[in-house]
Amino acid sequence: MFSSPKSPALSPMSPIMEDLFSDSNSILTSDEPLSPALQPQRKYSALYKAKPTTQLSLDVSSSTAYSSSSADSSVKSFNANSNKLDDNINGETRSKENSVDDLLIGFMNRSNSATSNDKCFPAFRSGKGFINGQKRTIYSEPENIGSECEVAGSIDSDSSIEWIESHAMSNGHSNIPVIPVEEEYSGYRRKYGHEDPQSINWSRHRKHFFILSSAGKPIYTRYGDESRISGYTGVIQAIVSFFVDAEDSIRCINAGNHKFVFLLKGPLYLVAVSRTNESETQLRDQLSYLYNQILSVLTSTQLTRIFEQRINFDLRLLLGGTEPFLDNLATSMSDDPGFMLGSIQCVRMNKELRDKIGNILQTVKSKDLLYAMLIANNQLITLLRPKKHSLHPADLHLVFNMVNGSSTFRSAESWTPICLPKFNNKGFLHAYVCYITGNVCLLLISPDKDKFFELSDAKSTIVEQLTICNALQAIEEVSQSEGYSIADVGAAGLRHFIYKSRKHVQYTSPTFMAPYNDPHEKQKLFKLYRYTHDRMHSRIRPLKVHYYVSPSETILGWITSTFELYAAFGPLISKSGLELMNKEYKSWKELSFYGLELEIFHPFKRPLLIIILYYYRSYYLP
Amino acid sequence: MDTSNSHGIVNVPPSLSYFCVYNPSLGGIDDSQGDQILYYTSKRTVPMDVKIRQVGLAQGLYELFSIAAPYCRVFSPTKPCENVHTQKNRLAFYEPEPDYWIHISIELGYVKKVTKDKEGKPKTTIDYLDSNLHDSGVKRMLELGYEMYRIFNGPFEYTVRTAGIKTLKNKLEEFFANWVFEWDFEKTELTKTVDGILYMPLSDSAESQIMSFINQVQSDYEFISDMFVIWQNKLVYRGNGAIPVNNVRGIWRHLVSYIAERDEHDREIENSRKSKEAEKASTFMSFTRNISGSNLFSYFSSSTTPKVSPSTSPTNSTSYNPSFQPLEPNGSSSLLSPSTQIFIPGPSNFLLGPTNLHGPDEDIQPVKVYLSKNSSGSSIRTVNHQHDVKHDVDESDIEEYYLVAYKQNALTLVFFIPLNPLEGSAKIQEMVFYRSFHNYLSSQSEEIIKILNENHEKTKKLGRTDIDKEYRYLFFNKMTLAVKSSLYPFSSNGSLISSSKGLTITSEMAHALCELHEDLERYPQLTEIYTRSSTNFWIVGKRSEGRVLYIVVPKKEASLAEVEDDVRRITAIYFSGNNIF
Repeated sequence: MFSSPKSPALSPMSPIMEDLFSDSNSILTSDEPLSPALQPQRKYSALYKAKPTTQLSLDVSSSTAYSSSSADSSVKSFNANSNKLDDNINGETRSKENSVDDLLIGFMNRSNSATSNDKCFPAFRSGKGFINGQKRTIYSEPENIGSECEVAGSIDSDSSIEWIESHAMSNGHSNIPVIPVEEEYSGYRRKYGHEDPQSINWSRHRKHFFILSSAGKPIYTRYGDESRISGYTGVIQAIVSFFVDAEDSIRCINAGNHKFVFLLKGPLYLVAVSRTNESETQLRDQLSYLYNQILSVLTSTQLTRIFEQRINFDLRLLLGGTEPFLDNLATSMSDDPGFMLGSIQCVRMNKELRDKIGNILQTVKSKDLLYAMLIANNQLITLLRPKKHSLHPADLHLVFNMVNGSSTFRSAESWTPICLPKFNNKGFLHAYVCYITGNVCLLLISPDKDKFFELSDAKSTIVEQLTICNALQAIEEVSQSEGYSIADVGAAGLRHFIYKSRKHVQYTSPTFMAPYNDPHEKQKLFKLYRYTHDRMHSRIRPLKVHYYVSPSETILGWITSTFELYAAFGPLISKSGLELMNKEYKSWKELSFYGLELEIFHPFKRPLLIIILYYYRSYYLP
Repeated sequence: MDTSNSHGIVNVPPSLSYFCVYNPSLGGIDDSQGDQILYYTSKRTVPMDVKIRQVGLAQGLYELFSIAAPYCRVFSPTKPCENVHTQKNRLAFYEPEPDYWIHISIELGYVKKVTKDKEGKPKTTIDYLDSNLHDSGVKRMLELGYEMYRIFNGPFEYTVRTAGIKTLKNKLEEFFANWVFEWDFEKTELTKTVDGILYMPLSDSAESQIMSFINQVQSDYEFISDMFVIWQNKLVYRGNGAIPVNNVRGIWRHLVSYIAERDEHDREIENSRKSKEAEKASTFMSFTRNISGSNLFSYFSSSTTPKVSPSTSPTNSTSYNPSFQPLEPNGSSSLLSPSTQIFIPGPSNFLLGPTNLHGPDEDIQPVKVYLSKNSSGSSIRTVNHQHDVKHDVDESDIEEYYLVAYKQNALTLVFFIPLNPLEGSAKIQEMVFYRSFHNYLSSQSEEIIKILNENHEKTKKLGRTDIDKEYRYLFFNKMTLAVKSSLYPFSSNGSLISSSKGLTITSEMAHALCELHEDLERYPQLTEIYTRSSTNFWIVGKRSEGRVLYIVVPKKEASLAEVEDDVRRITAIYFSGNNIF
């Protein structure tokens, strides 16, 4: 009768990228480049603009709270700090301090003049010393959020100890940078931004996302203009508070084909209204991603404090300009199975090349560097990380989303603060973002807000070295390849599959060939996968095998301790046919060659072997 | 029924928080909101304003979304809010007639654990078991509640129009007051969610003999428009098709609980035959209670559901309708064979009808039922089983009958006498009629009892296949609502299956079956689903043209292909030919 509350399905994803990434390795995605054109400047400019009203008030509280010693020697202290960070990374020391951090928003975007000069991009510089003061290195236990609040079962055991670096907010107003902002609203136009929330078209969208404050103020709507949905948000707020008053909390409403899913995160209420067949859990996971996206701009500390001070605060003032990222995320979550799977995709390339790239990245032995990664088309080429600090797929998705959500990164070196909530939801990291070729983006993430120039120099070194050994060209070529087709895999009857390695938290999937190159058919297939995924990851009653026959497909879901497989066959395939043990493939031998231990399990031996082989080939063979 | 063990784990089952029937179109928005509530009952006494608030929320969810935020209605114009999941509760809504809402709130079951944190301080965690309460089951309860109410009381709107709101309130109170608190939310059984009728298949010769008997009765008593024949707890003949199949189910279920009660009673009588007459008389009284008695509907109630853990021996576990349980192991032989029949002076053979054939006419309280008209004439209407059947309250849709039931041994005959023909309506009030009818039936039914008994023995033998030993299954036909199940050992043919020591349905399996069922309902295009649980049993759902088969295959080592073979063997039996199922 009584069953364990913790789903076993939650844990498996955790040992995140441990193996692949411990030296420098890679990961993946095959997704159409999304993202409407937009200007990230708006984001930051809005932040700055908002400062006089909100930040200042924050300053007051923070400075009193921390009796900030407001040391001006920021450079020095940063160094000290990074030493500390290094220690941490080596796992030798652990600060016992548990102070509350503070945060800041530092942003710097330097026009490409340093490397390529004449691209006159609307750029601005953040004055340095914008923030100075006392900083601390903090260990914080991860917030213990109810399991349902976690993203897609992606609790990373590694992240259970997180460190953060934080800076007390300066109270020196004189340091507030003056930022010229041009073209404030240039560029980004929301696809459905002008729809009337009262109209049929608006309500017909298959999946709405709303974010509102606990006071009922609209913050974000996926479609239409959020300022016009305050009627709805008022109702949502009323319903939520009805249950809050009863010391309960609302989770889901079912009405016909529609689901209303609620995620209540302190001062923020997130609501999905969907008539996709996504389950309550899946929708709540998506709301978590959206919430994390907001944290990545604000951090939980800042978010909490803002609403502590003014419950009625209009968060749009601070989030202005980040809509494109939320929009992009909302779209990606429907199109990219990586979100559902809590894993990412890697660019397929041969191992030598990947190793070479990894080695070159490793030459940037900057103490200021936390993570270094190369990304192409939403897929990972390689990632360098400290041994102790794996990067959670949810955080990685945020990074991808950031890079993807704005075209600006393509034309300039950028320096942007980002909070990676799974890493530490209380403080910012700082990301140096730069496209080194048309498709390939280099990201260098530092805990130190003042390392733009150092990392920019590091980039130059990396590009130089990559060029010398011809790797740059090779990467660009690989990044333009379209992946492999199901025909390449050559398993009879198999139409499409997603294979996820639980150990590596990565998945691979062939390109969508007919009939799935049709967006409608593709969505249909996703729908079937989603259903299987949901059933198999049921919190209380997870499944090992889920197999069903629909008029157009036969879907197999299969989870073992090492992998998850979602495969689509034709509707008429027989189960025994799938099971044929293959003879022509000297497969077991071949697999052991790759150092794999396969769980020997009855159904679907043959296609599975082929899929797994293919998966590993995508790493080891060109 | 809190169960706790030494590890400080407390297991609390789900329970009813409140149940209400309301109509938002009654009463104003302001002070008279209470008028909207037609019936309200709850675990704890609550003041009126709380009731109004709860009903208000229910409407709020519905109305607020639709007024202030039209998208709720725009999104799903036909389906209003069906259920709300919260951390601790489940709310469900059902609108059986326009503007009339049945609304229930259930407190979720939970597991409370006291563990020690790192510093050794005791820490209490409560895990609410949302996924152990299936929406489909709750929905079925509400539907069933309404279905049964409607059969014996008529539609809400009809009552309001003919007798006024006050009468409706009284009827609701009388009908639901005790019953709803007996609903059992803890036990998940697919048999309840699927909710079909047990049929007894007949051999061709038996069928023609039954038919001629029925024709004979109906020609001798022309005002009887329709009949059911029930053997033990199984339906043998379900009328000429004029009665919609969901009404057939309701009446059958109702009768079956009466039959069980009567059998129980007969045994008691037998045991205490020599005791005083006075005692008997008092027990008889319990039979004369009116239809609304709460004891009739043992279906979802916990009182008749043995509270045993699913892992105990099958003899203790629940049967399809637990109240049949005592019938089989103990008293079957004497009840089955006409030759051993012992005439027991006592209540008359009329299950529904006068208890004392020599009493005054005033004692007769004929049972009235309100049935829907079967629009499609003689053929059995396809009932959209799990989907909302909006009950039309158009008066012309209602057919009123008097119901008379006669029981002799394992045979029960049910007669439908329409209200309008004067002859029938008059006779039904006269004791003379019952006396002659009794004589008529007792002489005529001997033969039928013999036929059915033979038929029963035969099918029992036929039904014993290997399948019953190796698997547990449930077969359901949406057209006829026929159900055949071996999920719970007593259920399929009312007798203990020989291999009862075999597989027992664990609660995990029971939940998995319900989920599978919900999936098949949600995705009508899927024809088969195979699942293998993390504890390695297989559950398969397969359907074809309105027939659905659910099978539990408890083979840990079986591969998908092997399971498929098994399933194919079973389906060959049940999906084949003109099997009644």
